[in-house]
Amino acid sequence: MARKRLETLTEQMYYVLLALTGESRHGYEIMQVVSQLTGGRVVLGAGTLYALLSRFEEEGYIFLCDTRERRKYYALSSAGKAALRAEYGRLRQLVADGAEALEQEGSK
Amino acid sequence: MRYSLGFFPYEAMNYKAGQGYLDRRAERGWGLRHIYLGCMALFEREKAPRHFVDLDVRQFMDEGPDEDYIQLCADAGWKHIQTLRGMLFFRSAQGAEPAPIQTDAGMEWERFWRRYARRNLITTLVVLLLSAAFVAFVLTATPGPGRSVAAFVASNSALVYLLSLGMGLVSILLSFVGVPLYLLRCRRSGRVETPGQVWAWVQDAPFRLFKPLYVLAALLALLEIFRVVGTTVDLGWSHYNQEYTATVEACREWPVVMASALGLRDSEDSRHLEGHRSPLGEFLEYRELTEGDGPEDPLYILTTERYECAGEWLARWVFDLRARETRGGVFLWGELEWEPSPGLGFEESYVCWDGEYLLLRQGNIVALVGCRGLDLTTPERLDVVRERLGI
Repeated sequence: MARKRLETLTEQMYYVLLALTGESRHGYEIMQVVSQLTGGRVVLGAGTLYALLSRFEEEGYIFLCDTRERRKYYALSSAGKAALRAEYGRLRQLVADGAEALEQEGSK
Repeated sequence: MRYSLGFFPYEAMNYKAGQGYLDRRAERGWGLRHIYLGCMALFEREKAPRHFVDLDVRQFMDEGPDEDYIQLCADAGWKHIQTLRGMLFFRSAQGAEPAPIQTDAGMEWERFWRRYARRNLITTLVVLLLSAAFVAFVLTATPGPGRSVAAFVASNSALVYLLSLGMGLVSILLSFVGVPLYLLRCRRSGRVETPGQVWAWVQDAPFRLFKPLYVLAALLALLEIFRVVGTTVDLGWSHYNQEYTATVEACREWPVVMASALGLRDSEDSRHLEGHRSPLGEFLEYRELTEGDGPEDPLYILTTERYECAGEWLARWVFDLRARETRGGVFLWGELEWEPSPGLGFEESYVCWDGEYLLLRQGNIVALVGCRGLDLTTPERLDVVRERLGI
């Protein structure tokens, strides 16, 4: 069994997986979607994205579904969806914990 | 001026130093066009160019460019210029302001360490050990005839080779110290740091200069073999040369001690003269075999080695070196056990075998003269030696 390396996702990893929800995309499209989703806050370099895609493919989070005009299209696998949901849940929990702690502090 | 040239010596280990160099050129409006001969960078005028030097981390470096990666970078606005020594060179498309190719410093460092630096560290260690073994082998090599180092002062190819070898060893030693320190610095900060520009240059430039020097040394060696330059005279043992009389005449023109000058019968069939010239000096080697007039007379073997050095300091070094070498057996006719003989009228002089061999230095000239079966220390013969050698 392949060693699980991605216990938690970095911000860039999270947005790459998020960009692949719903439809398959090629690399540059992913970069554009991430930029749109974050209003330009998260900048994804081509080299960084390429490394992330390789890692996700290795871990089975995404798979190559098509190649058109020398561009590779990737789609999210069920493992990838699960990882994304888990990360989303973790982030929600983080936000909820933060909100509770900060609200309590504010009411004092 | 539309084009400009620059020297790009950086290896993949110092790819961030290469990035820094290109950034500085870009600030002055120069965009990289191509790197020729592995180090000559050609730049062209461009408004606000941007460069990105990335590491090529493919497992097998001879696979050719990773087309998928190049395509992705092209989509993002980076034009691939070339791949060189494990580095990918990109330039932004005209007017485009793409995001840097690497935007996660942690990932970039991890990739650099896992897929490049670790392997490079091992390679550096292996090269250093091999170099140390080579140096140890050279230093402890048993002396023997034909291994004289003194004659190298007059060999252009040997000088260039030694220079390139020295530079290579300096580079390797610098890498051995510099690479671990640099990697430690990166590890502490968790990113691929930019190494000091001067340090990276000193570390990498000798390797770039190394190859042309080797090619030059090989060419000079070839030229010396074919006697186009460096070699002054003659041919080999004239015994095999039908026109040996011409060789005798040629030999008389050079400052070597011949049998006829010492009152011996002129050799008719066995003589050899050759020489080399370099910026550091001129080296002549002469040998002659001749028999006495009577049937009981011995066979005389004459030898002259004459070094005319570029300076007296070099002549002193050659004198000491040749004394050591010949004591150790680096001489065709056996080991020479020298004794100092200051009374001969030269600045430095050694004698051995009852005056059959002399090692002399006068000013910038060093000579080893010998004749088996003949004492050369008599005043008359010393005058001949002095006159023939021009010292």
